Amino acid sequence: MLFQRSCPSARAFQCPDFRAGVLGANIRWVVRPVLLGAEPLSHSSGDRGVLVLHGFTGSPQSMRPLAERFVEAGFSVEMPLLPGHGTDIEDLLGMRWQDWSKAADDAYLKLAEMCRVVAVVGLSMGGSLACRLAADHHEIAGVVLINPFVEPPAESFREILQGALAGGAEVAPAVGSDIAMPAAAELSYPGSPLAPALSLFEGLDALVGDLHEITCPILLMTSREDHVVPTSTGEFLMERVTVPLKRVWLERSYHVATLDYDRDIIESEALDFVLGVLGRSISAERPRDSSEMPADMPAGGITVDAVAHVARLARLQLTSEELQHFTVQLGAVLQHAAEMAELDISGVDPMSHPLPVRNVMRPDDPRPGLDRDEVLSEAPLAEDGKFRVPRILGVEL
Amino acid sequence: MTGSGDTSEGTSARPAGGPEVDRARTQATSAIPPFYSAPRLSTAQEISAAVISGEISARQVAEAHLERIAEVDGDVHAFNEVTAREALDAADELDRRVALGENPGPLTGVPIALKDNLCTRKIATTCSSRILAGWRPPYDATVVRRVREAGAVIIGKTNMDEFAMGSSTESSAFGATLNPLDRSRVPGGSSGGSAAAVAAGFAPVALGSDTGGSVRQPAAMCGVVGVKPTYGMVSRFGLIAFASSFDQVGPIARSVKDAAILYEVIAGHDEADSTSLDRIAPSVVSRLDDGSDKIRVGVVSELVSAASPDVASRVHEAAEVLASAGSMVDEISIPMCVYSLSAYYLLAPAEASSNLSRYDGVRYGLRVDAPSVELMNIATRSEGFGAEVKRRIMLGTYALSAGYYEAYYARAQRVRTLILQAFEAAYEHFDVLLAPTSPTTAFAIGSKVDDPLAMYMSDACTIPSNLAGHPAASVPFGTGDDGLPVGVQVLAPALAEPLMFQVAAVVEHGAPHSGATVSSQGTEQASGMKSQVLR
Repeated sequence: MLFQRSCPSARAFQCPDFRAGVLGANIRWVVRPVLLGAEPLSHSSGDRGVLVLHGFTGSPQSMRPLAERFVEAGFSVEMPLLPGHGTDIEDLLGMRWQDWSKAADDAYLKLAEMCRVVAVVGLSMGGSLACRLAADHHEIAGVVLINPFVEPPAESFREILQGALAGGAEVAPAVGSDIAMPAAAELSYPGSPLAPALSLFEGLDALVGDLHEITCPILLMTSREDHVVPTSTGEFLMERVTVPLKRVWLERSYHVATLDYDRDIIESEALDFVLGVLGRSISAERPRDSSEMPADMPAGGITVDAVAHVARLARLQLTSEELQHFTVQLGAVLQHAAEMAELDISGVDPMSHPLPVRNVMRPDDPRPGLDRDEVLSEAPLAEDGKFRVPRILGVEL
Repeated sequence: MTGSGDTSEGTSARPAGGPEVDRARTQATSAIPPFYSAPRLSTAQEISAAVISGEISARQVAEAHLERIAEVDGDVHAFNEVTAREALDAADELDRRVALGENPGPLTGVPIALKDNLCTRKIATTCSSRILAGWRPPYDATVVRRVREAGAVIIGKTNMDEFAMGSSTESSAFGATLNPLDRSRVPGGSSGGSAAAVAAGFAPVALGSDTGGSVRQPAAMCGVVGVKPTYGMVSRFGLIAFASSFDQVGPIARSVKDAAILYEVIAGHDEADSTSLDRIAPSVVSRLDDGSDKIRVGVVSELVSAASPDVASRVHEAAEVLASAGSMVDEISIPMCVYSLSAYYLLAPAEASSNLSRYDGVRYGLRVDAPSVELMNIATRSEGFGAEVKRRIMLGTYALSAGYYEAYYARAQRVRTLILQAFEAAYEHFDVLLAPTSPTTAFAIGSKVDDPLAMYMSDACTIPSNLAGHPAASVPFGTGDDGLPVGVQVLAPALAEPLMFQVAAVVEHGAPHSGATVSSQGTEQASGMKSQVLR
């Protein structure tokens, strides 16, 4: 998780160690074969799931208290240990964005298989991965981002890292867990490997262009003071997503806020939000075995496939552009409508009309109807006193 | 039909620069007595009285209004079609009857603009949609027949959001209508053409239809009066259906009195509409001078909170006007209000998806040729409907589709019940309720076109009445910080139109002088007033 000195913030450039070029060869690593506390978590319970993702050079340890809150609340929880993490920094050197992204995807699919609705929670790079998943899987019901890493670092900064890499360095130094609370510590690697970091930046480059694809609501929690990702990351994200977003400021925590002073706030906000998007989902009522029902239906949102299905039912042909556009717009309306799930409607009769509707009969006296010729004169095509249509039988659709 | 090239039948009747209009100009300026030199700015009541007494002819009134339309509507685009010839023929017939000593009715010689979703026999009725462009109905809507019978002169069909789906008149297939008070702003919608026509002096009165606020919201944004009657009070026969359990035709006018006169003309039982209430329309004009002494007025806090601060201030000032007139004003919270938008935007599209299935290219309107009937249906609908209509059809189809019916449609129906119950409970303590009509003054053209949810939000204060089936009236009351009109809404329980009009008249009487700019100081005073008026 820790990505201190090699982070994109201006602060990184001010770091004397980094500028002094203390990189690579003369750094000694304390090798810890197995990091106690870094174990993944997999808890199966019911059909509402939460995927929890840790950050670059970090481990599930940083997210465990939050993940446990979700377990207590009765959710199925999947918290993978991302490739190269939680063991030894050597293991991370060969890993790239694609590896973490695939691991996150696999964990999501595993959860989605047993759960009807899923939310994703991520810290730092875990936040990047959560955004990636939400942009790729529109059935995800909600995303919780804690100090997410979404703003790609400047080219000039990457050049410095590439220079160091070319000079034979493999790792930038880390300064330990970025936590305000003195007693807390993050279980993380003592450095930030350069090549994996550069590939993470490329992952962000691709993600930025897809952020508008996210269709689910977002809970964004950011620290006022963060020495790892720039505090502008929140604004950067908010400018690029088109979905409902709730912003929570963490006043007393640094980057690893899940272990910091504000962890209670984070846990209660995240739980509230996830209960909202999963628990209050109005599609919770839908029959699970309906053959009509597309299998990938999200909570409160709508997928491209579902929109295409509905367009067919409505006898409308949409261009692929319209399809994308309507998916986002209908998703937003349906998300809004999901608020109705808060209401207790048990015992409430449905109202189909403001008035009691009853059969209205009039005396069965013959009277003239509309003039046939006048009506037919307004038809697109008429013949022999009838509407004329193209052939009905013998045509394959 | 400015900006549209595909509706030849619609454009043909437009009198722009035609000989009819030239004649109208010379006659209108030379023959009209001074008091009526601008009869277009007179009220319906004055026009009718003057025509019946012979002070002015119905033809002169029609010509003066046609002239005004020819001068100004090129910019505003309130009309899809101006029915100049029919109007002058109708006016001549009225003049003939008046000369014989007849009294044709309370709207004698009064020009009226009709929203283009009201069927008019042999006059194009398009719903501002390509799919109905040029379609001439074989019958008149009941309300159209009634205004004709009351002596009104139909002067044109007004632009609207396509199939009344919208809050800005921008979704018209024939181009947007501009707000005559500020042409960079929308006139509201969906009856934006009707409201703009009345505000611009093209007609003293107009008819619109109100499904989620489509009469009241544009009336507010154009600074005129708009009324949604109790559901079932006005016949829907010949009103092209959008959402049948919500749709209601309503009057738009420059005064509460004109709106009341028009309401009395259109209200009442119609055997052609099975949802028409079987009762005689109440007298409302007779109640306009009754004041509001001892009337219990509740200001709905959730709806006031939904509005911008300047609009909220006007509502509080209107409450103060009523308090000064002896009303007992208090604040009331109806928390269930906030769910109105969600329920409405599932229920109305659901009904629309069913109602609009009739546009299949077979019986009327557009047909796009294809080898089979089903492919023809699809091609016609895909070509004929605009984006907002497609969105709503799909939203409704989704809400009604197998697997989602219970979760979306049936739940929204139950929430509708809860909202009705919440309002009925409120009316145990209050006679009428007060709220903003639109959360803001008229917004900029184009500002919400691609954000359906933001557009839908502009109906937040009007939708509750449609869900409940209750009547509501929007009365112009001062201006916002931008100098544009603000509408204050008087909501009443079912069938309480007499009381609603009575209170609306008091609000109108106490409204700041139209066009006055409200200073920031005024706003502060108003908010200070809140604590006194609303305990």
